[in-house]
Parts: sequence; C-alpha cells; structure tokens
Amino acid sequence: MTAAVLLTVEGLVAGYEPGVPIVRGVSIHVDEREIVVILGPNGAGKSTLVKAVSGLVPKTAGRVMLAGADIAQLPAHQMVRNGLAFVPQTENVFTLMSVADNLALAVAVLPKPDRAPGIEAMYDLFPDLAVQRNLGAGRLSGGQRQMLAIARALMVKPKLLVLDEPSAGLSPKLVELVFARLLAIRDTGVTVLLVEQNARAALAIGDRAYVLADGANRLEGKSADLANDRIMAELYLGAGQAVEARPP
Amino acid sequence: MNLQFVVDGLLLGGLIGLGAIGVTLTYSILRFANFAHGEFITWGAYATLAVTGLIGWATGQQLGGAGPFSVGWTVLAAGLVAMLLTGLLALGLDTLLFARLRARGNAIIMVMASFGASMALRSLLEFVFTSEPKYFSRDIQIAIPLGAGVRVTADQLLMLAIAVVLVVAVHLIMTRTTIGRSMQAVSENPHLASVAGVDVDAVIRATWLAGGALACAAGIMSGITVQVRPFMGFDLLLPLFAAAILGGIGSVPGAMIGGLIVGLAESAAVPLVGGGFRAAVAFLLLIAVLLVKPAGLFGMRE
Repeated sequence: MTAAVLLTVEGLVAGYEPGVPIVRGVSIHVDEREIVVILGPNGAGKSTLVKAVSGLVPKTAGRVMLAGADIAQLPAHQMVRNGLAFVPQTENVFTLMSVADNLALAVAVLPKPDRAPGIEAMYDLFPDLAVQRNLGAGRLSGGQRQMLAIARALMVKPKLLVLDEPSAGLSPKLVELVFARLLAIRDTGVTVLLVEQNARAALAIGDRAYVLADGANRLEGKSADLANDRIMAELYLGAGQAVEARPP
Repeated sequence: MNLQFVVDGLLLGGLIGLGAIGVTLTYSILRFANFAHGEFITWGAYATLAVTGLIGWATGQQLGGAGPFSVGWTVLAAGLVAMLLTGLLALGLDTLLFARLRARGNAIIMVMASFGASMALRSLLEFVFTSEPKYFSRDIQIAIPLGAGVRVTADQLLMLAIAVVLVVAVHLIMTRTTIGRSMQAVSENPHLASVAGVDVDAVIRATWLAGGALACAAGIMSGITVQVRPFMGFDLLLPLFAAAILGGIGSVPGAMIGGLIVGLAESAAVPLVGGGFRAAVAFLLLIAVLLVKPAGLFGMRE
C-alpha cells in the first residue's frame, strides 16, 4: 500500500533578496502521516526552504503542492487556512500576550463554534499551558514556550505541521519530550515536516530524511539508512565546515 | 491655588489621549512616527464643521444646541460621518504614500514623508477654509460652578464623557476581540502574526481607520471647547508624542493616561510658572521620560 502524497516541492528556488537564491532547486515530497526530517549543515538552506514553503520567504521558481492544491503563490496568512501550519525556530510565541490570548489569536481562523472547544482540546493536550493560561507567554520556560508554539500551530487543525528546529536551545531532556510529542501528534493524523540541526534525535523519530547542502538536495532516504551513512558523517564533520566557510 | 486647572487639564488630557492612541498604534504597528497625525485632528474638526453645514443646508434647519450644550444632534451625526471620513483620509494617505515607502523598509524616509504630508494637508485646509478661526457655536455657555472656584461648562463635561466612552471602547476592542489581538500580534511580530493567520495588510488598514477616527474625535473636542483653526492639530503634535511615549508605545490605556498627565501638567503650568511656559511642559516631560524610563509607564519594550 502506498500512502498519498501530501506535500510536493519541485525545483524550488527561493531567497530573501531578488537575485540571491539561498534555496537553489530543492525537490522534496512528504506522504500523509509521515514524519520527514530536513537535515544539513549550517547555511544549507534548510530553514529558508521551510520558510519559503510557508510563504515567509519569496519563491522565484518551482512548484509547491499541498493535498493537490497549488500553494506556491499563497501569502503566509493564507497557509493556515489551507492546512499548513508553521512553527518558526525563534520568537515563535507572542511574549507580550498571555498564553490564552496566543491561542485565541490562532483559533480565530476557525469558524466560531469550533473555537472554544479547540482551545480546550489544546489545554487537554498540554496541561502545563492550562495551568499557565493567564501568564504572559514571555514568562514561560523554554520548553513551555515550544509547547505553546506547537499548540498554536495545531490549533488550526493542520494537515501538515512544519517545524523549524524545535530542539534549538532546549536541554536534551526537553528535546526528548518535544520529539515524543511530535510522535503523538503524528499518531493523531497530522503529517510532520521538520528541520533539524540535531540529526541523531531527529532521525530517531523521522520516517525519512532529506539532507541539503549548499541550497540543493544532497542525500535522501529512510532515517535508519541515513543514520549510518558515510556521506552524512562527512557533510556534518568535514564538507559541512567548508560549506559554512564559503563566502555568501 | 485655584483648582480650575484640573478641569482644564482633564479636558486637554482627554483630547491629547485620544490623539495619542492613534500615534501609539501607528508607531507600534507600522514602526514609524507619523508627524501627519496632528493633521488628522485638524481635518477631523473641519470635516465635522463642513458636514454639519451640509446637513444644515440640506435640511434647511436652524442649527441650535441640544439641552444645555452649545451644539446639537447635528454635530454629533456630523462627527460620526467625519470620523469615518478622517479614517478614510488616513487610509488614503497610507495607500498613496506610506505603503509605497514601507515596501522599501526605511523608517526615516517614512517620517520625512509624513512631515511633508503634514504640511500639504495643513496648507490645503488653509487654502480652502482660510486661516481665520471657526467656531461650532458662538453661543456663550454659562459655566456650572462646582465649588472651590472651579467652573465647568456642559460642553466640557460632554466631551470628557465622550472621551471616556471612546477609550473604554478601544481598550475592550484591543483586548477582547480578534482584530484587537491581531493588532497586538502585528505590533510585536508581524512575521509570526502572518504565520498565525493574521492578514497583516488588513490590520494596517484597521489601524489607520481607528487612528484617523480617534484623531477626528480629538479634533471635535478641541473644536467645540476652543476653536477650529488650521494649526490646531499641529500644535498638539508634541503633546501627542509625549503622551504616547510616556504611556509606553503600543499601550492604549498608557496613551490615555499619558495624555491626562501631559494635559494636567500643561494646565498646571499656567498658574504655577505662567502661561508662557505651557508649551514647554510636554517637551520637558518627553525628555524626562526618554531619559528615565524610555519604555514608558506601561510599555513592554524600549
């Protein structure tokens, strides 16, 4: 049995400034209910890839299809309405607003009757947040913040949850906790696309992975195979440094 | 010392506060200091006068005051129309001028452009209405004595009441509704706001509409209790910014409280150090806040 393809990215070229592409022709696909990991050394364009897919970075060429619909031209705020929710790496909660207001803002894209139950469902899923609901989000711990950011994204019942380095800045124990949550989220039927620096931890929960280097596809395969790949080790230890040190 | 300055200060503070809400919203959401905001106040006052005149001409009625007030229902109706018109003026200015410059992402150019817009808008009013002051009513209002030598006119009480209603309404909108939360979100982090499904452009439009409408309300307050003249808004610009910064950029209650503090301080300056120093008060307050507490009283960031 082959699962249906949820996200297809073909020959994507994207960058912050015109004429300076950071992603140079990347192609990936994510099947329904998969956890797919994007790996690669610093400066490989991983982050830019998911930001471009989410509508935050301008795309200059390529195709992006989500569940059969062309989403390449959609502005970022339309993505959640089309089933794609993005969790940025940093500054991913509104620190000047309460936990409850963070969720209330996100849930506003749903029809009115679904809003209150949606927020309650998130509090059931993340009991920590329920306790802190009236606290300013800026006063949450790093782990709680990441949970709020994920809860905010799940709020809109996305088909695809895209996360940019959810492990950044978290202790190994918290990383384990967050990744366990991602597995549980996938089990509820949400597909997950994840950019990670922490290759070992990410490959442990991922079904498949893509390795980018220099803004292009370098390797791809099942997580278990990539974990033992020689080129992978080289990319991270040797060539990775070279890519990083290249002038822009 | 006569406490009359308290009444005057609250009234002045109320209208500064209404104007400062617009300044604080545009400053925090669009990230630039809009020096044309004072002109929205002036245009609002003239628009109200013009619409009042139009209604009077169309209905052929003699315009009188309602009850104890110098102005009637016509002015109230005209004021509501003018608030919409001023909001649209602000929106139009953004579309024609600021939106194009915003794309280039240079805040200094935006500030300079707002200076130019301020002059152009003011001169246009002088051209159409002349620089001669205008009045909503030439009736003399008998002030009601409140004791301790303090007197207040019915108009002043009405204007204060309207200011309070508007501020409470704006505060509730900002904290309890989706558009309010969206404005807070864009003000803190526009990228994250768009990821969370907020249409940033729609929020910017709402901000201009609200800022323009509130500035118009301030213009009506000033116009009814003092007079309408082309420089009325420009002269309020410094107090507006002092109030917005004192209250903390982005904070609606802060702008109102900042406005009241600036208004009371300006009015207190008259009996204390003489009327000549009145205009310097807002300036001194602004410098003091920037030196001592740049984030303002209710500001979350600097």
